[in-house]
Amino acid sequence: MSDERMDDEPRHLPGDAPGDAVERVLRHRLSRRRFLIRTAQITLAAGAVGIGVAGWLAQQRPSPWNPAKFAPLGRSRVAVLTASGYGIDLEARVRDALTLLNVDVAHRSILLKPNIVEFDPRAAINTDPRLVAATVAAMRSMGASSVTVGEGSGHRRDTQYIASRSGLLDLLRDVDAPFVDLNTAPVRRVTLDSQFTRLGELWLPTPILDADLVVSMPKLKTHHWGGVTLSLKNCFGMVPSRIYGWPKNVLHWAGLNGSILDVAAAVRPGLAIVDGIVGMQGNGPIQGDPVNAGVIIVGTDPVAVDSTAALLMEIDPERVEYLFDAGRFLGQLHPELIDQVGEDLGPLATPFALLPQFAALRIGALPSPSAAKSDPGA
Amino acid sequence: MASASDAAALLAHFRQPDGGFGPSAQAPSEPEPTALAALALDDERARAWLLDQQGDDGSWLMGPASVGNDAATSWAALAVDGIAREHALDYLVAHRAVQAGADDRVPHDIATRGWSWTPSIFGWVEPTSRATLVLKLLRPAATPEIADGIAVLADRECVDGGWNYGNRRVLEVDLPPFLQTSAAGLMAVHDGPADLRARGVATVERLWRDEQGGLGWAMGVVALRLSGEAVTGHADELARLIDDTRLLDDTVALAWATLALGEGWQQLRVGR
Repeated sequence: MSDERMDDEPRHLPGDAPGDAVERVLRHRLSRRRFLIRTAQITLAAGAVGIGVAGWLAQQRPSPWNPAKFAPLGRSRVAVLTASGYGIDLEARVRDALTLLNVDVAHRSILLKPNIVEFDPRAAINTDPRLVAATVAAMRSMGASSVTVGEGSGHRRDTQYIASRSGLLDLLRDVDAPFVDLNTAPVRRVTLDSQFTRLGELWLPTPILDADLVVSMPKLKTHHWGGVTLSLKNCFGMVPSRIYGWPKNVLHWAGLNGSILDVAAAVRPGLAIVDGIVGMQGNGPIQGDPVNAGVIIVGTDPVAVDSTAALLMEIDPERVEYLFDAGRFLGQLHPELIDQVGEDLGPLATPFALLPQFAALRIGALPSPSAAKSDPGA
Repeated sequence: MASASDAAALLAHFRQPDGGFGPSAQAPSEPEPTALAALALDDERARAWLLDQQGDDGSWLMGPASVGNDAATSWAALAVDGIAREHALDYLVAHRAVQAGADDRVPHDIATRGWSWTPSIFGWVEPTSRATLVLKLLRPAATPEIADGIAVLADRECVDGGWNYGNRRVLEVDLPPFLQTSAAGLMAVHDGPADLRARGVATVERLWRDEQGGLGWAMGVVALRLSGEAVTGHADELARLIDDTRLLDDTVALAWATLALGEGWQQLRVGR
């Protein structure tokens, strides 16, 4: 395991287009052969200037968030660890990551939020319950006062079915950890600190609001409406469906990207652990194909974690609309300002297949005039 | 093995001091669990809570002002009576979902509406099913609205029958049905159309074994009973699941289990 600080990297340069910074980081992190291909793509990407202009224009927009409520962005640190499968000592891996990041969970109440949006035994939809149980054990061994696991499935109302059939309930029983259905838990009203939608407020489960540390534990997946679904999008599962409906359609009608931002900014997970051991590519988050990516990505800044996870899928995080906006106020998006520890990202990077409408998200891709249409809301 | 009275006792244990029921043990009273508990337990205190909470427009609303989930209004209409019921039915008739525009990524019949979880958005299977069923039961003269509800269910029916939350096909991929939502849909069509009912029954039977969960199984037993199907084995399995898990103390699931294992389900039978 190498501690890869990127102190020798080129820094952000005046006039950089967002994609330039990504390419510069990848130049250091990807193999030479792969980088030559990327360089050729960038050379062809005359439209990259257009992306830079679009990014600059976005920065000039009024800020739909209360600056007093969000700390200024600084450098972030993200740990990337290899994991060849779910049979290895995952508890040790999680503990390694938390140690690398100096995360102190002692005497804190922890709420782990995996992604159990649906279940299909043939698909890699869910955060693997073995990683969830291992995280429970790791947190406890590091002194957490309590560890609870919660999910509010967006598609399935029968929580008992989905939590048991996915294997989660059995494994939590083995480690004696409680499960809370976030779709039926008590709720409290929260006024939003950001206004990317007109929601204004959310009713959120008290187990989320009362936890000392909320841990977003997504699956590493592409997403058919948002491009990618990672630790920020995983926060949708913290919104109770008994109010917002199955499939939480209010959030889609309010605008998928804006809702992701408003919900994540309301919840503000203090830690993200991405299950990239087996991810999903293509028509995610349900119908895609599995990818053996063999990684766990961990960090205290969920935006930085999602940015790193996108890079790992060879997706430009700055081209994912909601990630770009998240990087303006919620966390660090820019790879040159994210200190990566653990494994070298380059050899681990895997080009996750994208639906055609998201082809422009690929690192080095030409901007597409037929870029992804907005979420249909249905 | 748990009986209807055992399920009822478990459910009654979760009554809140105000007479209503929350969705889980620690949650304060809300319209949907209270309405279902009122039906399952034939409970006057739950009905009193509902009457106290009914809005001036006839609905039972919960959630933020910008959202306002009114989907419990159907069950609450069934649980109360008199003017309160009529007022609620007026609300249901007047507050269907909006018609969404055509979108080939998520194809659907744009002429249909149905009912949604929250006002002013797209209709979905479960709220459409319950509103359609309740109108059939209590206001059969609302024929355009009932026909629309059935049309939504026909339009959203999965390729091999049954329903998921409400998308038959997304991005050219046919989506599978779920047991719980198939049971909800089947309840609404248990008196017909016959083809929807037949495929709904087949789907609930097909998914039963693989989708073991309190809510799906309890609603499945009710839906099969309403459709005239034999449920002895299913009811026994549900009873054992209650013994083993208390259905995770989910009050909505316990209310459905009480209806399923006793005679309460007959309140949902059209033309009884």
